[in-house]
Amino acid sequence: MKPELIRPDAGRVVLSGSWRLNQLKTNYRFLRHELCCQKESEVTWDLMNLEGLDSAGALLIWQCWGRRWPSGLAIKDGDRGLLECVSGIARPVVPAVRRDWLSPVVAIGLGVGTCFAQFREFVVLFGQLVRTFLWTLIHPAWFPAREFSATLYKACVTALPITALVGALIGIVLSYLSAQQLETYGANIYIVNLLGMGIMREMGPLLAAILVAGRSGSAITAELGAMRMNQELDALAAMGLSIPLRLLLPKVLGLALALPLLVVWTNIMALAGGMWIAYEKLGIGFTYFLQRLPTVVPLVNLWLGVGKGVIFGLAIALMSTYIGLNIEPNSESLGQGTTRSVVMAITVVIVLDALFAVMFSGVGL
Amino acid sequence: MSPADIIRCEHVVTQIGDHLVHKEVNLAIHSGEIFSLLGGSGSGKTVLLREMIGLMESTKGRVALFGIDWKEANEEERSQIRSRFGVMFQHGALISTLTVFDNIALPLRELRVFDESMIEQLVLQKLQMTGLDASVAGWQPAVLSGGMVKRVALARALALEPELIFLDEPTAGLDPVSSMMFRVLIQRLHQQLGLTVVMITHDQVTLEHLSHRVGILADGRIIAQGSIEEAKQVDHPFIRSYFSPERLLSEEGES
Repeated sequence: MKPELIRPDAGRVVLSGSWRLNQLKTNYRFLRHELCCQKESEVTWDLMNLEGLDSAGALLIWQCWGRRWPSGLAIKDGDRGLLECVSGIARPVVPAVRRDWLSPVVAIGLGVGTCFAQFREFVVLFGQLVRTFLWTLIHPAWFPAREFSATLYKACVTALPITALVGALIGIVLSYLSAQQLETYGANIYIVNLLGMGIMREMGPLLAAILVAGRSGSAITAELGAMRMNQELDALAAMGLSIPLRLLLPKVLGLALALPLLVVWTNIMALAGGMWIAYEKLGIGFTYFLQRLPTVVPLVNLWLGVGKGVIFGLAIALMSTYIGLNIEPNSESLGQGTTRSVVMAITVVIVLDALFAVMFSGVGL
Repeated sequence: MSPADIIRCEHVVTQIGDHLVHKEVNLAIHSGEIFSLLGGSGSGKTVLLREMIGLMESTKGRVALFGIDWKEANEEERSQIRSRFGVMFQHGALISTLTVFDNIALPLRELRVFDESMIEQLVLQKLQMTGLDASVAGWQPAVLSGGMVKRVALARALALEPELIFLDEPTAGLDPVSSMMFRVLIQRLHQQLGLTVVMITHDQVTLEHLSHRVGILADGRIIAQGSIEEAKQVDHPFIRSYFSPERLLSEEGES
């Protein structure tokens, strides 16, 4: 039965039907309005015909009574009990908000402090990893080979298709744009220099690093974060398993090896894409292209690209493990951490790339 | 089966992958009682619970709440059924990004009927009802103790004033004192609100103190249904080992 409010005569208000939340929700506003309209006049409340009452209904009635018992009331004992129960709820005390004019300064100070603390933690983590790595050099039997190869498979082998696709497409785009420009000067043959240098030195390592940061960096952060939420890290530590050795080192070393391998692979695919367009647009044959490539691009450029791959891999793995280990035990922090890990890793990769460009400006050009 | 049955499972068969979880489950839960579902690990208790609350569908057979079969119900009927029961999950399942207050207010706000002051009062009342202090309202779920998580989860399950409440392992992971206090709480709420309580439990003390009737799930069937005394009479290895493990041990010693 729907909750109803009837006023049979001037001095009496009758509530009937089921005043339960399930029924109330359909016409709550109307009932509230009706109830509050009865407040001003002195009336007798007849609640004997109620079919049902729950705390939501009781609370609604109590609020409309102005939080005190009306002078005239007829009610069943059970319902009275509920109303009494509801009447005991205190009005919430809203704590006064104190305005602090210094709060921006405090916020900046805290921010800087957190930055330093985080940097310190990061250095500690890095130190732990270096120490663990040196330790495994002395005790090679303890090297976490299984975890290492798992990381290699997940970060490298499964990334082959996507890096191939992206690499080839970027190669095609680069070649297309350069071909049009070079053709106007009749400098067709320089497409080999341009592609070789651009891809091996810059595009290959950068593309591979961005894809790995997106794929493996986020996965590492999410995995470590979820393990922390689930107390798995505590369990490992309690069992006496070294977390840096078993969990972090294989990931860091895995990425440091996976990324240079992917760099070589991306280079090959990008050059293949570029070569195809060079043939289509400028009529440069594959054999000629490949013969000319080593003569115009010094080998050191390839090594530079691969070396960057190692450093980028280390950077991505360190960022994502650091952020993963610092995730708070709630789902929002996990999402934020994963995003932060990808953004930070890509930013760090690009910053490092710019540093390399300046440092090695005299090498291989 | 009488019309007072609030839940009915008839000829329920559940297959997950190759595994036949329920071969034939028949169960009736009466309105207003405290019913305990008992069974060994992996006997399909939680699967049956998930079928009752509409998170899963049985492969065959019908599961009906308030006389409405989940399979035949349309979306409107389903949401009506959902608004009439509350669930307390085993580990609380509190939303970790919301405070205690917001967790309990969540279903109330979702109705889009009440104003904030009413919601606030209702939440405070639920906290009071489950024996929690109003000061925990602003806390994050991560800092709560095990017993408090269960209380908050119960408060959230009660937020929409349900007639029926499901408790998955209500006292698991609690120390004996908190466990006892939680039992008292359930008993009090059952009397105060006239709730029907369906719980999954392993805890023999909880089982014997609270339940009016039990259903025992083993070998994919309900092997016993009725009062605890009646259930104890049934001759089945699970029932023997559950109610008198010491005899099981002595038998093992002899053989």
